[in-house]
Amino acid sequence: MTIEGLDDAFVAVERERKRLVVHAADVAVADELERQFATRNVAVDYRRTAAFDEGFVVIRDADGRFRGTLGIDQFDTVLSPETTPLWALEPSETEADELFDFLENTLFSSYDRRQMLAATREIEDRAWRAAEGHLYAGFQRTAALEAQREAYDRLSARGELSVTVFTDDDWDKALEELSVVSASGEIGQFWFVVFDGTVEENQACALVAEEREPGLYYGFWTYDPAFVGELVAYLEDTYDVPEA
Amino acid sequence: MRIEQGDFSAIEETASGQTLDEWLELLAKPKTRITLAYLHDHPNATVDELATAIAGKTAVETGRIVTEAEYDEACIYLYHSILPRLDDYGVLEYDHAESAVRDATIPAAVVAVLEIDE
Repeated sequence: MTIEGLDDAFVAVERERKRLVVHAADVAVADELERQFATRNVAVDYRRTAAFDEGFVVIRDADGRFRGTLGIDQFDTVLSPETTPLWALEPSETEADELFDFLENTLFSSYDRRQMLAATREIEDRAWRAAEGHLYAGFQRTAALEAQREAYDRLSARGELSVTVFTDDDWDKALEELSVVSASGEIGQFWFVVFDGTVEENQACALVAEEREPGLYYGFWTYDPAFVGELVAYLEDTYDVPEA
Repeated sequence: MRIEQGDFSAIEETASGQTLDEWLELLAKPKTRITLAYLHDHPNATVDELATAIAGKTAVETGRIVTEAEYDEACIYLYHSILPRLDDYGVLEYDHAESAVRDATIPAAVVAVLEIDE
C-alpha cells in the first residue's frame, strides 16, 4: 500500500490485528492477559489446555496464521513494563528480535510521555549505533525541538548518519548539519521517529503516535523494513526534505 | 512426562496388537508424547491444534520462542509420521482430507506412562 498521511499508517496497522491465544488450564491467566492487552490492537482468546503443567501463548495474525509461541511465564516477564519494557530488551539477552517480529505493528494507546520517550530513545540509539542511514523525527512544537536540540545535533554529527527533523512551527535558526522541515497540519498532531536502517544491517524501525488527549498517545511501533520504507517514502514525497 | 521402569507391561496388553518395543519406540519421541497428552484432553482435534500444542509445549520446556518454521515442521511430522502411526495403533481415526483426528482414545496404560494429570 501507499501511505497518504500519517493517520493512514494507523489504518494499515489496524488491518493487521493480531490474535493472542492463551493455552492454559485456568481461564484466569487469559483474563489477566486480556486486561493487559485491552488497550492494544490484539484480541485475546482462551483455549483450555489441561494436559500440560504450564501454559503458553500463541500469536496468530488476522488470518489465523500461526506466528509464534512462548511460555506464559516468559511472556509475562518480557511484557511487564515495570521490569523491562519491550523496546529496551537487548537482542543478545533475549530473543527480542523475534518477539518484535510478532508483536510489531500492534497498536498501543494511552502511552504517556515517559513511555513515548523511552520508545523514541530506542530508535535514536539504533541510529546512533548504526552511524549511517536516515533518521526522521517529528516535533509537534519548536519548544520540543529546542529541548532535544543538543541530542539531535550530536546525532546529525554522528558518522554518515543524516538527520531530518520536522516541526509544526517556523524554524529560522541556522543549524549546521541538522535539516529542519517546517510544515503545518499533521506534523503538529503526531510524534514520530523513523530510522531507515542501513544497507548492511537490517535496523529499520519506526514509532508513530498521535496525541489524542493531552499527554496521552495512541500509535504503533514497527520493525518491518517494508513498512518503514513506506513511511520514509511518504515523508520524503510529501515534505520538502533536503537531500542528504 | 517420563517413562518409569515397571510401567511398561500394561501397554503391551492394549488391544492394538503392537509389541511393547513398538510402543516404547513410539513413546520415546517427545512430539508423540505431547500429541497423545493433548489428544487425551481433546479427542477431536485438528493438525493445526496439535502442531500448536507441540510448538507451545516445546516453548515452555526450552524457555524460548518457537517460531513459524518449527510449527510447520511439527505439521509435517504429524501428517507423515505421528498420526498415520497412531491410526495404525488403533488410538485414533485420522482424516487426511480434513487434516483432523477423530475420537482419539488413549489406552489407560499409555496415559499412566505419560503421567498426565487427570
